[in-house]
Amino acid sequence: MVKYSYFLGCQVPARVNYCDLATRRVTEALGIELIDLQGAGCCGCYLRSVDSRVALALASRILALSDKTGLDLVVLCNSCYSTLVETNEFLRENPELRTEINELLAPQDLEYKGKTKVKDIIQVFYHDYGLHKISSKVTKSFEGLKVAVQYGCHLLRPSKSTKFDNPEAPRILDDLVEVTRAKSIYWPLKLWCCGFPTLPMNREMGTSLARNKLRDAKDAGADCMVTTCPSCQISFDVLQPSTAKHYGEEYNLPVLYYPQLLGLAMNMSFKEVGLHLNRVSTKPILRFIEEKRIEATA
Amino acid sequence: MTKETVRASELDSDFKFEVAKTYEGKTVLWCVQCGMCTSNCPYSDVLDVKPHQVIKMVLLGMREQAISCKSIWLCSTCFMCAERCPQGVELGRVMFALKNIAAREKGVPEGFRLVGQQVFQTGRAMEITAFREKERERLELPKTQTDSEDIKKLLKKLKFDKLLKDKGDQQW
Repeated sequence: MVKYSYFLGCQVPARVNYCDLATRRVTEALGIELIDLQGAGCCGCYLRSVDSRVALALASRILALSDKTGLDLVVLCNSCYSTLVETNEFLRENPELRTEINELLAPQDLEYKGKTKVKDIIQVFYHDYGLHKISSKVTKSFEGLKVAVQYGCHLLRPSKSTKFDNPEAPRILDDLVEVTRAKSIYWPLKLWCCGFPTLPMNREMGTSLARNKLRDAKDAGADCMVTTCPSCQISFDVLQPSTAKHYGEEYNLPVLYYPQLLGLAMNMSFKEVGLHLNRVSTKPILRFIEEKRIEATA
Repeated sequence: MTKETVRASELDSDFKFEVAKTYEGKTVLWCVQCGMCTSNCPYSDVLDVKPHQVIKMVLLGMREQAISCKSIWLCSTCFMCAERCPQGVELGRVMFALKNIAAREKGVPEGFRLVGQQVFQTGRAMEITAFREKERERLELPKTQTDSEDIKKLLKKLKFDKLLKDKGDQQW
């Protein structure tokens, strides 16, 4: 069994436990073992605005905890991913910063060694497990389902550091969605920000970006959105009703976290992947599956 | 941008070097003011000071204006600016460098202060409510475990609590 350290970040247990649930169920079924990283806290991404060194210290602490396990570190959150990856980069390029950080960590019996490779769960599916093998596990077809694929910013950018995919024309998540035979549609705002990071500073402005994208996805004919970032998931799913109310609009766009879609395609039940916990009703997806089943038996 | 006369004698010509000396702001000097960042900023229609203008302020030495403008705090950190910059200016990172200086000298805006206090107290940026704890139990998800005291010690050593307290957010 392939093993990884597993770091949840702040947003998942606080707002979207279903991301964790779906990830655990799907990885178990694929034979990927995730071992919770004990003691880890905030990665520092929000605090970077206030004090970059504080963010660096918090991120290094997580990487140092992970160094002890000797395993690659899997994260769900795009912001955790980029913060940790950029921290590895900063500490590699600035030895004096590294010394400073290690002096801070020493009293906690921790040392940043820079050995930990950080991976987003999507990279584990696509590269480590392999797209081809994933497709062999898919037993349910979503043919005809139109999906607006939402990458989120911090996997794609800054691409020199995140090294995730082509930042202007990414394919990884599109391919992972399309192994279920669903179609990744073109929508003009696909690569844009969900506005989540602006929310604490200016709720109205942050919400406006989510609204633009929700309307764009609807206009492009999406049946649902599929994301790979818990923050995007909060912006588009958890906050969708309040955004709709604020603008006096209706979107009713189901927003799935990628492992939820994959789980369904692997014949897991709605509840197993936590689709009953999404804020916006995911019943249209259930109806889609049921209609398919009727078609298949007819 | 508001129209005001800037006197050459009031400029701080060392400011650009102050920013370029930080590891976040090291690319600021490469800017040629092409405007690509502003063209790609999701907020360029609503910001009173546009991203390329923030950089121009740094390059000209308009220190006070650069660290007082709200745009730096409204940045969504989407990094579209940096990604498409033909000069390789890591604009999102330069914004972090500017916000760091602003936080020290002008105070931390309330939204960021609240998140900061949350991390200081609990080790996490967002509270896990009793409801969410119960939900995790019900879903048979493991309990989260955070070394909040160790994290607090680390933050205290970096004087983060003091930074949050020192100045109110009246500036913002």
